[in-house]
Amino acid sequence: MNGPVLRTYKAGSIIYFIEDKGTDIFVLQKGRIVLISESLDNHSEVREEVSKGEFFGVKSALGLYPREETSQVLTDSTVLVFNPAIFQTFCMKNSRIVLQMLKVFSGELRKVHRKVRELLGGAIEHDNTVDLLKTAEYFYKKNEIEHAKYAFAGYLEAYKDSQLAGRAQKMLSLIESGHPFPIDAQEVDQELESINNQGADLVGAAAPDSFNPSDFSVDNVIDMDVPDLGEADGMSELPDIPDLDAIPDLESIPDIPDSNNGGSASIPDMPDMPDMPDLNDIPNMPDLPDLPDLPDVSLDAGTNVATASGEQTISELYYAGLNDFSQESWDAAISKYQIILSRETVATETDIPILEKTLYEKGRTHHRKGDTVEAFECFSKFVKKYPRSQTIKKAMISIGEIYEKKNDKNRAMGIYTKVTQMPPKDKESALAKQRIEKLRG
Amino acid sequence: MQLDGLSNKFGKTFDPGKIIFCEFEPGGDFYLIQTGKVKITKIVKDTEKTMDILGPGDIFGEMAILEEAPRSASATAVDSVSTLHFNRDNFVTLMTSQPQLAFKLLTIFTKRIYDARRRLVILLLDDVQAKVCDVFLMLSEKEPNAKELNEIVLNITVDDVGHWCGETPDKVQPVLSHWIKLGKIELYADRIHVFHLNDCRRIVSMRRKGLHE
Repeated sequence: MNGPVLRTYKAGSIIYFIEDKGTDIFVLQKGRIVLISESLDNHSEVREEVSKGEFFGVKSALGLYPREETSQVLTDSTVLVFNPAIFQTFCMKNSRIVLQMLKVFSGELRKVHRKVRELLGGAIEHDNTVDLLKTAEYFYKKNEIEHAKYAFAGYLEAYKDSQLAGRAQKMLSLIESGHPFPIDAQEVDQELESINNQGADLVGAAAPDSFNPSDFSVDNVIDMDVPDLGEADGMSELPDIPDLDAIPDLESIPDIPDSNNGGSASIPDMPDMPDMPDLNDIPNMPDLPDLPDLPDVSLDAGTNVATASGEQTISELYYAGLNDFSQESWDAAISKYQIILSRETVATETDIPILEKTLYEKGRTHHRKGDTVEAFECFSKFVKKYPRSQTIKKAMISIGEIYEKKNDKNRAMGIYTKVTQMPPKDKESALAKQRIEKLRG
Repeated sequence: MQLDGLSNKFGKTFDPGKIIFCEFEPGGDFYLIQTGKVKITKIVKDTEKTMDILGPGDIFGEMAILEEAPRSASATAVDSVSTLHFNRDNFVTLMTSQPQLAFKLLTIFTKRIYDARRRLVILLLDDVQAKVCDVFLMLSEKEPNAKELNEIVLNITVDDVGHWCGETPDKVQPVLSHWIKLGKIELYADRIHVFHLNDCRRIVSMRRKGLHE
């Protein structure tokens, strides 16, 4: 068969049904045909009449997908029917028609994408300017210098007037001077939040200059004392829980300017940090990944390779522990987390984020099990060891809960208050506030 | 494809390892690979994941022509890469002079439209559990014997599931944890083993019909 075939249909007949599979492509020559489909939101039926000379059935035929509409013949009709090979040959000779179809398809694609974006809503939408900067910094951290330079330069070209342009420019200067990524640089989101929190006082002022690599020198770092935990057997013999002030000192976390009253014009400094090694000693420290409420480590398959001895890898153990937790097998989960933590000294760079999550999970599991002392120990260690973790507030709230269990309202109130003072304002801040209000009665 | 005549006008080459464009960068051009390989990557949870490796005849970056949206992934030359480089201005010239390329793009668009509509179907569900089920079904539909499948190993993470559902990972995690407990799935660092796709079909179907379990 070298060309399309002519086919006639009686009024009321169906050429194909929605969900049918088929590779024929049709062009209406004579008569009336309607395409019946569901609207994008599935709430209504959409009927579109085919114009004479118009193609239909193209997408499902080319994409080898089920038909997306039912084609119903309204009056006796004649159609040209192409199989895919003949259709392709036809397209080769009629590029203008293909171009027209491309335009139609592109319009449809835009429409679907718009609907997808609508449904995803603001919470899922990303700020692409911020994401581009994060991508640039990712490359910088991974020492992919050329990629990082490209991305920072691209950022500055596209968003030169953005709030974070100063940060991008400084990062680019650091790269060009051969400086490694400043490992204690404030997160992009935090910096943006700080900028946004400057309030009305900053309107009209010069662009904020909040990121200064020299701010992150070890001289600016404040020691944090670890709370000593004595030995105890249970709740009734809880060790002397350390003073709130002995828990990682969060006093120096900057006050968040209240945007309602104008706030302070000063840009908050970095939160307190534990003793940090010299920047020059650690050229490429991996950044900790985002932490959602529940554990969700993303790992390449490569990190899940079994060890030479055949024992479970850290990531395998971690996920097995999560499975145990979900089945309320507390002891099984704890023992797996314990194995992971005992391997800390031999952990690879990829394992570091899991170690962080494991310590938190171990605390969470003890907490659920009712092992208050062990839970307190884990959370305290976590707060000390990972003060910049995105789970820090959760760990602190858990510590507050333990204080509450011990009827130590003051300390519970104190730690919840600290949580409310830590940026950003998020659901943990709100939860801590609720707890304070509840304690106040 | 015989596109040599266009090389002088639209040719662009990249050295091995050179970035062609970066994820989230605004862009208005797309590329057709003539020689060499191009790696498409995305950064997911602080890990750079390779989404695809493209070779001669492949097109990438074409969404920029349509969407005027930032790049959804990064493209990097794996080896010495020569491309034809197009934008909105020369798009029509290219498509009319190279119908085989236009046809290829037409085929790509049909797949993109279908995939986007399929995702929309998931997002329209009003229940996280049904959404997660439908994600499993959508991904299983790529298998040739999809309708008969009841068990499948999907190379996805919790984050990926969240992404397809349009939900944050902490929203989908409780659903997954519940199913782990029931033995319906097994969760690993890099994959999810689903044992009962038929259950997923039932849940999604009931939800679509507006029935409540």
